[in-house]
Amino acid sequence: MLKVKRMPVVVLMGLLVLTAGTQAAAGPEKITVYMSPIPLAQELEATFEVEHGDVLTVVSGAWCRRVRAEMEAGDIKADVLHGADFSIYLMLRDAGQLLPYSSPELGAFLPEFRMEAEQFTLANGRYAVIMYNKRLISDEDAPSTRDDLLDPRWKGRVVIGDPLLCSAAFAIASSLVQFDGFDWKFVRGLRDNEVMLADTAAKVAEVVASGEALLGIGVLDAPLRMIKNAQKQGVESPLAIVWPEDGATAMPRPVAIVQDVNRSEESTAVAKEFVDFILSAQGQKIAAKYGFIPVRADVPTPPGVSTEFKTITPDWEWINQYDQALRDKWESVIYGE
Amino acid sequence: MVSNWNGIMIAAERRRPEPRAIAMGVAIVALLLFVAYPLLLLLLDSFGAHEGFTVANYLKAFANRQNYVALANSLYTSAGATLFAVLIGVGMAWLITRTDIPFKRGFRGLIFLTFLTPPYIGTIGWVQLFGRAGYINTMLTQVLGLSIELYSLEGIIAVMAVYFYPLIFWATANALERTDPTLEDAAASSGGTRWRVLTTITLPLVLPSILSAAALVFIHTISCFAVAAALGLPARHYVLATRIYAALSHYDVQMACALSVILVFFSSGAFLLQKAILGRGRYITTTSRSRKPELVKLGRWRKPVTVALLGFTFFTAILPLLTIVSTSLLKAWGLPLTSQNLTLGNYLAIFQNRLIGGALRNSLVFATFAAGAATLLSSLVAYISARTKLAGRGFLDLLATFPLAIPGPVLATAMILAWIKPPLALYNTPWIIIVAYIVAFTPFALRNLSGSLRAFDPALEEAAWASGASWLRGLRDILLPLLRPGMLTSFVLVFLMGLREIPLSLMLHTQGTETVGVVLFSFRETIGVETVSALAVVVILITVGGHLIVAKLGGRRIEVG
Repeated sequence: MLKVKRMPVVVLMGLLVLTAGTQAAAGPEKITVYMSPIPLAQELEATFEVEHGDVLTVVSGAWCRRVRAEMEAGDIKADVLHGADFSIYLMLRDAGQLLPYSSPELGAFLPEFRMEAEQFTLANGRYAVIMYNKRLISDEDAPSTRDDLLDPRWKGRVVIGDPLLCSAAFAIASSLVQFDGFDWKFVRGLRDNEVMLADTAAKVAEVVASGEALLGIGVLDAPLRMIKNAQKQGVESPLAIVWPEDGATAMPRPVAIVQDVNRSEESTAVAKEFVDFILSAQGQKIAAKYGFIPVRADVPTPPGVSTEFKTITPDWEWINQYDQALRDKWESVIYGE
Repeated sequence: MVSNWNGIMIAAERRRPEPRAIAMGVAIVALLLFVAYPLLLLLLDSFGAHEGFTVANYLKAFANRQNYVALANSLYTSAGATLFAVLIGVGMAWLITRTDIPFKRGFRGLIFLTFLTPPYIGTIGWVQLFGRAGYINTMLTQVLGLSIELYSLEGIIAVMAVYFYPLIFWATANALERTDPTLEDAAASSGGTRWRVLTTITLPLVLPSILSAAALVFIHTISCFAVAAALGLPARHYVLATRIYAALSHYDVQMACALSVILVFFSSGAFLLQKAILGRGRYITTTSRSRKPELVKLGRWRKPVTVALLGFTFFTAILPLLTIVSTSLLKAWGLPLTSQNLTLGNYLAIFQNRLIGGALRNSLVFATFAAGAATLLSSLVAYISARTKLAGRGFLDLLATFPLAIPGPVLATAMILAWIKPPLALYNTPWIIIVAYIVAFTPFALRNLSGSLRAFDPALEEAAWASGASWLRGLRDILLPLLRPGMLTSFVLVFLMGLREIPLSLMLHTQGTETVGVVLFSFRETIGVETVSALAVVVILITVGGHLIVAKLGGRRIEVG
């Protein structure tokens, strides 16, 4: 059905696909790393490979749903996971999919980030903070506590990540319920103030910066990166960060090695080396550039991060165990009890 | 399986069977392997799959009140979007093909441009215009004291209608262009008024194409996440597609599959309804491309209609694009558009990133391959369904359309379930993305082609065969020339869909097979909207440039655009 004169085009396209294919398949014994966000992943990979050669296949972007789908198919392709929040690691741990590993770097950790005998390790500190648009909210009106989000002045202009669509946002909302003594009054307050939802906790910064929302709660690294990028361009981002006086929810980002009986000793060794690298002073300095807080005492926190602040730590096991009940309750509160 | 199907077809065959049977066999096997098999795995998963048969997921889905609300919202927004897309698309198609309205090529170009912008990026522009802090909303509030609530089901309808009316426009314009104008002339000369000719002759002739495209828009919008998430969530409105994403976000794959099956059920309803309406009549339009139709003179309406159309295309094609371009020039997202806040640095930044070059190349290659394969496959399926008496041909048509109703991440999950293990371990190769594109976008090509194939009288090719031509000869000399405009449109459509696609490649890419969609999505939250906008502008420029070159080389206007 194809005319002869089009054949060269077809052949050319075929070659292009083949080259795309060889790129993915090349190299022996590479390990696969799923990590986010993309600029951090790129720099971690490049720095690690300077010393170790081309040993990593890195998949970035939103990888949690993908890992879950691979697990459903019975074959998780990743060797190392890094980023996101506790939920995916707890799910994998409960399914027996993680390889316990105690990195030698743990000795240099700050005490609050050291976990004993776990199947995953905390690799970056990350907090849920309040952010507001300082072009639209004056200094004296600036929020200082979570309850300031319930001020009727901001009705319809407060944004949070959607707990149903984003696991980090789910943990933030659940932690607020937990710290109200398992009471939903803050969520009810959000509903009455016609809270806006963003599909992820990271997108809160984008929505507040645009002025669509005036203030909101989201993860810290996104506004930090935006503020830093603006500074580099010689302008001032409209975003301002507030560490809530009543406590910022701790949302640390783990790293873990996936259990795989078919993986060679050699590859497992590379996986461990890469985990050690992420936890090393060098790896932590790179992460700090992208707004993540070091877990080590010997690496300074990124600029713009308060050193003295109150934190609240979500009870992840509780959130993990009551996932469905918490979702149902959230729905019934948001859609009017 | 192959020999079995071939056997059935050979038995049903009167004329020279071999090439025809082989072509049809290939299409059927491809559909069963690449569409039926992954979808079957999804269906099994919704019933518990490896943990033993259970209907628990469905019971849970039906017990949740919010699922009914979301379903109602889905049906409302998709039906609304389809209705407006049809009104706009058919109206513009008639104006541009049948009247003496000026700037026809310009309007076609703008319609093409509307469809080029990925909704994921386009909604950023809409929010900047009509959001709570949007430019136009702010002006409206200052001048008139009123504002538009973009974050509403009606907002979703409006934006979806804008993004998908081009599909209706192309289908209708193609159909109008190949309708034999002598029919209309005959009616007019026998004393029919213009309105009567339009409603009793013209419209029924192009109805199959309109309905086919309308079903496409309805089913696609019902599974589409980007617009519903961007405009629904801020007001806490859910549609079923958002609920499916929510299930996946809580790692509840089986629930996501169950909800998808429910979505497919309702979409199939829309599809079957369209078929039932068409089944009542026989609409054969073309016997030959005899001559150009006489253009309707708009007379004193020409000016106001032109101005209205200019206004509409300006608002829907140019303005959102201008906001994206202006964002791409901002030093930081959220700053006002003043000269000291402007930079070209975002463009520099994207070309310095080592992912971008590969992503552009991958997207172009994957989209081209998928477009070629989807066009061939859908031509064969359309042929089987319109021209043979093969048992189960209606099901084949339906099967090829099913994936349209499945939200991207669930379809990607099905692909992973099907292709992660040998013998066909396509996962983590470029092929899984190409296969996913073919599966996901064949419905676009198919709905576009089946409308046009039905419009041709089978007597044309039967005459060729009756005079002793082989099946291939009849195909090449009669059917292909008639179908070529439709096939070209299908190719371009699938290509564009592939180029702007995000959720499939996001879940199926690996290092080296990143696509433009992967980069758009990943950069938005990590590098910023201004950089993503710059990338979107580059992709749009490349597509427009490519389109112009192809049109120039081809020496003829491609029906899209």
